[in-house]
Amino acid sequence: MMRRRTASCLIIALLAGACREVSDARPSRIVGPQILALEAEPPEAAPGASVSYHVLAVDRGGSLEPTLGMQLAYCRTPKPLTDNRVASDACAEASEQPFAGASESLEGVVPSDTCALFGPNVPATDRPPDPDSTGGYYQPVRVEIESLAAVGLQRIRCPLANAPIDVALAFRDRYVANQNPVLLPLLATIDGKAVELSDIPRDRDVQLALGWPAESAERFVVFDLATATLAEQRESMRVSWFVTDGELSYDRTGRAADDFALRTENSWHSPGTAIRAHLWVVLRDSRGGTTHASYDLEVR
Amino acid sequence: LPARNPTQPVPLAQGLLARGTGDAYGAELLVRLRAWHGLSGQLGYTLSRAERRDVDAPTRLFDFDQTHVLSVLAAYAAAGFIVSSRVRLASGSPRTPVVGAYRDLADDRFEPVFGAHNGIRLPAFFALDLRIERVFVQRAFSWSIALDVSNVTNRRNVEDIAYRFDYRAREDIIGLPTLAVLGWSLRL
Repeated sequence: MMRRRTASCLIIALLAGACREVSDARPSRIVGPQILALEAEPPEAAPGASVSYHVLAVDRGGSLEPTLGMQLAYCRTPKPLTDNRVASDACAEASEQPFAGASESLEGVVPSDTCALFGPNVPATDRPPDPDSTGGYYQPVRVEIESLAAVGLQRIRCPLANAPIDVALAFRDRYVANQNPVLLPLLATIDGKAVELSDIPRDRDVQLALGWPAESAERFVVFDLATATLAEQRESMRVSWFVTDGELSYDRTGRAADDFALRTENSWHSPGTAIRAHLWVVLRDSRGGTTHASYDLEVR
Repeated sequence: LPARNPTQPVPLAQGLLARGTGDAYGAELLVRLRAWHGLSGQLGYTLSRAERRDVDAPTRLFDFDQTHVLSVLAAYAAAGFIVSSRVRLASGSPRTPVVGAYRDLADDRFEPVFGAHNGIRLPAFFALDLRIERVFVQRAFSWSIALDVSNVTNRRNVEDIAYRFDYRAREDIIGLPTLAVLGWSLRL
């Protein structure tokens, strides 16, 4: 489990008290409109394939209505290899090839040259971008809702690069395209006893448990460039938690690839006044698959 | 100077190019007072500017450019006591500002949008340090006890900038406050 807070630490030993938070804001606390997730179906697609996108946008009053002007666009400018951000400046600042709409779900067609721009299929004289640890390449997708901006990643299916022919054929036969994970219903307990989300007592610690089926943590093969062979991996799972009121113990939880538990836990301290709080959870697997769920927490 | 190749995709083995250039120029002044009736000291001042030009990029300040650096030392020795002081004043280091941010939906974190490279400076650095030392000379050795007080004025010197996780707030990282250290030394 991981509590993520932003801290700045100076290595110089003489600076006392230099490791601290900048403000009390928490990534898990929703205080205004935010874009939390971009879900793609399918989550892994080949160039030219149609993909349906769903955007999770929220505010303190709940999930934002899709009638707000929303625009998605495929980024066309790769970022320099020395830039470790998710997308190039051009992608972050402008939209290209937008497929605008006012619907919660939008249809897009993965650009035909995405493997040349963001994948390994560059000319032999050029250095291709590196895949991530799961062997994947991604097409950035910019999301805009009024003044909010975010960038998601669409996993793309590209031909295997620099692999012997027999390995490439084996990869083609054995690789299983990523699927979005599935969320099981949220379980809430207080002192070991189940509690209804519609009837939560005030000022109490509520234990939350979120699970997924075993098949959601998929196994897949990865091409190991060092050994020129295929290696099998298992997906890790990460959960981001967001709430409008009360206090979560952890902003993010999850399970590593070698951790075969199928659930993760968090704790939420309910407010001291009667209120309806909104809770969102976003489950991501290590190959970019995403799903979410939203809950209303009635504190009485 | 080696500089990153900004093209995309990068040709093989051309991630760094020897096409960066830079300029550094300035002047230094050093005035030293030799021991005179127990009083000694020195004043040093540097005026300089250092710039860099990366490949296909505009001129920017060097990461460690400091326009003004002033250092004044003074000491007075009498009756076994040495009282000394040091004043340091320097321009703040360049920093690249964060002018916006967007959310990375894959890793669930915020990414900064940067302004002009090294387009702002930290506030100027100033420190007044004082030291008083009592020296005891014996036949075969000497020993001393000294009290050092750093940053006597308790100046809140900014060492760097820290941003909130969503880059919507920032704080200055402040250096050490006034710090007193009592020491003892033995010279054989």
